[in-house]
Amino acid sequence: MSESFHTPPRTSRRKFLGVAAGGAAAAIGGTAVVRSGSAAPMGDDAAASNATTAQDAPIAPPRPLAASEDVAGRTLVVIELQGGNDGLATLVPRNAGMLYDRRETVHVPDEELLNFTDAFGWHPNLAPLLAHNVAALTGVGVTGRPDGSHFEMERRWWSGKSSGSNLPGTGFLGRLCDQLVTDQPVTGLSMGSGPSPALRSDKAITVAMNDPSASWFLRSEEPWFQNFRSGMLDMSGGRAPDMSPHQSAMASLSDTLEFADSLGEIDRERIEARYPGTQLGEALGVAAELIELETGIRVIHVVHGGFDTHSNQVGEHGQLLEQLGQATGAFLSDVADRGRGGSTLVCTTSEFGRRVRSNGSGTDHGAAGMAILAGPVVSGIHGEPPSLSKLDDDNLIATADLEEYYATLAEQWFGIASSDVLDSGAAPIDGLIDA
Amino acid sequence: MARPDQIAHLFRRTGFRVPDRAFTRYASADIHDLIDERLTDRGTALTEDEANARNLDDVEWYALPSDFLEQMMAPDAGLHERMVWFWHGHFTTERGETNHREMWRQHQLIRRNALGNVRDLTRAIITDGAMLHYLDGSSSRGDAPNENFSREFLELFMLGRNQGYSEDDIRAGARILAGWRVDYQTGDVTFNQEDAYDRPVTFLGNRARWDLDSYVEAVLDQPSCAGHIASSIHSHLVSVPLDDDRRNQLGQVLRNNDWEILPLLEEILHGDDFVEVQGQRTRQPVEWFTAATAAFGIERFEELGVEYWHIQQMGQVPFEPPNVSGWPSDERWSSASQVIARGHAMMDWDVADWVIDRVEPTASSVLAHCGLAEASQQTTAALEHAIEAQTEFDYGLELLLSLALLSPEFSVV
Repeated sequence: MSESFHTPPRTSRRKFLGVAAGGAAAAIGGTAVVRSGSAAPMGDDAAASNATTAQDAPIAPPRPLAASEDVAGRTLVVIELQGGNDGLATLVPRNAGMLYDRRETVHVPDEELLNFTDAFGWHPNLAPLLAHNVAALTGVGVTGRPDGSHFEMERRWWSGKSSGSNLPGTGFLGRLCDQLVTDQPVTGLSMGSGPSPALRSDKAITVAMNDPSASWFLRSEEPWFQNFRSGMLDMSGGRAPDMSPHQSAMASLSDTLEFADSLGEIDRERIEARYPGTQLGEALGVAAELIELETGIRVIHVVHGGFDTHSNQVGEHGQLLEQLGQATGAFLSDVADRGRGGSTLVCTTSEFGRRVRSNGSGTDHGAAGMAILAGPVVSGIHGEPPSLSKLDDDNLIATADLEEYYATLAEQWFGIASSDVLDSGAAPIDGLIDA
Repeated sequence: MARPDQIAHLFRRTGFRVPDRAFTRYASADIHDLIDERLTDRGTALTEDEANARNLDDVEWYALPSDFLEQMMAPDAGLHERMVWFWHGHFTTERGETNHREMWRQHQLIRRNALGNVRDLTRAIITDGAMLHYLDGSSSRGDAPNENFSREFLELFMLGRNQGYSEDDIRAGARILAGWRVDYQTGDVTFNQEDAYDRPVTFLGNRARWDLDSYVEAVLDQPSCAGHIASSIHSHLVSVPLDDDRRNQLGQVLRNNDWEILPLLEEILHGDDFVEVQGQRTRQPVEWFTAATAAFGIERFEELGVEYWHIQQMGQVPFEPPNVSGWPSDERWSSASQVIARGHAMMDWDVADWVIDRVEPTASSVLAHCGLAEASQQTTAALEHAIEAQTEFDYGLELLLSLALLSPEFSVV
């Protein structure tokens, strides 16, 4: 791979203000962002170089972790595996000859799997995550009529409406935030390129953040910056439902000013020392800091993209799971060390699973998938595994609806009635969360 | 007579920024005459032979987005450049999933066809090397078809979701399009009969032996196709909801003109919705970046000093869309993370000498300089208040510019 694939060294000038920026150095160094899915060029070489090796023995199961009693101090971290994660290559059915025949080129062999039961084993690259308390919910998806489009299925997952009709203007996570709102400035946080539609709320403030240390100019005490902030405040406005683009921009100015002080407290050295230098690692490191700073954030949404593995699946999917395993493993250790292990739940979503039969080197869009939960959960495999023989057009048939999954998060993690955040008032799945 | 807000809107939507002194220069012009003038822009593009003659070893990874941004930042960037940006987001390709040489070729293809003919552009994009890599056409075989391109082509590029096609059509399309191969060294695209599907297949209701041309014609003939493409362009340029009648009418303009793009643009830009409705869409980072650098007097990318890091922080590097549907177009582009990234970028930029010499550090002159003909009382007062507390020896101009470029008015187009 040529040099030009790497990020250039960055230089920065601040001639016009002549002000040395406190946080800027940290913002510029140290964030070796690995874009998921950008492993290019394609071909078998990349797959071979990413091949994973089998672990000698399954990782010892960790001790159970009970949820904190204080429901009002709990935080939910949702990692969206964007593109459609292949559940069958994440939590792999064992001794499934039929599966092997249909997806020989993408199948993860039994002998490489970790923490296996008679029926399932985990992809080896998830090892750092499996050192923690982990549960799987199998067969999760749309139990009615699923769709093969990323964008349609994302909309259903984001909005929490499995049928896809009469979608509400808010997202499921945004509605959780509306229920959780306090007098603190921010309730929901998206880490990534912008606010996720999943966090669209009515009254709660949910913000999106890329690099918090880029906000140094919002904290400088120099008179110029104080004037600058007064000007921003004078141009700003409050948040309301159904805002115009103009009103939305006014509200963002006040969101920014409200939130900027907390961002200055983030301990970058701790993040750099404890997390992998990937985009996901960076995001979860900032998430842990913001939980610690008690900014009022209760729901954090992080996108981990690149799961649309139509080709070169073994290499690309393996790399994505490696990034997922390392970042979540680091995050769970970090929150445990901060004494917040019992009040932090991590879970995944993905718009769909993938086709049972491979297309050669990858898999096309499928239906039912699976979800990973970590933290105060009842470790093990939950839900009814989808049948490998009874398929719908070569796709797995969901055994748990995404709304039932969401009802579980609302009721059993936050104590919010399902009917307050889901039109259907779907029933939660018992025995998954240790609360 | 063109009102200042109409002048500003026209230039923002048919280019990227309001030209220097536009309000005085065009004050006595008729808005429809100005629109006609914008429609004469043809931009610049290499011919196919010139593009093929280019040594692709000279194409650099960094230069790809910065060269494109620089073309959008140019003072004369007009409707052609605007449509290059539109098609770049419509026929999306993520460069990280192909290689930058092929990406450069695709960009030249779009530049050549941006104001040309939808049929020509569509046919060319299907067999474009970067697209074949990105949506896996290059690894699709008749006996192991990959559905990626076939699905997104119908759903996103041509027809709209569930608009006249079925899952079976997606599977059939994948077979019809199997067999195209890209040479990794040269980027050359060839059709390999051995990898093709060699039987008749039923696609969009007809059973036949298909080829590229008959496949493209069948998709263009779908009733939903012209309306989908016309409304995508309308949405980019106008961004107000389109009713069914107007959508059909715009689609008919495409069909009546054998898929030529310019007659459609003429119809859209002269429409009442374009002329009268402003500020209905959140300004995307690339649109903000090109207009904000113009206000600072920055025209060359190297004057920014920090490569494309700032635009990366804003989340919209050309050639790096988040997924195959391109960049979203909603209020997320004015969120707190945008305010921080935009503010941070401006702290790194220097105001050009000619701007310092020409623009007085007063609220009204800075707002006019930024093309903000319609700033609210609240924003104007905020700037007036800020400058009262500042003297011109303390970077008052920079203060006003930074505020104006973060104002709610500058955050919409």
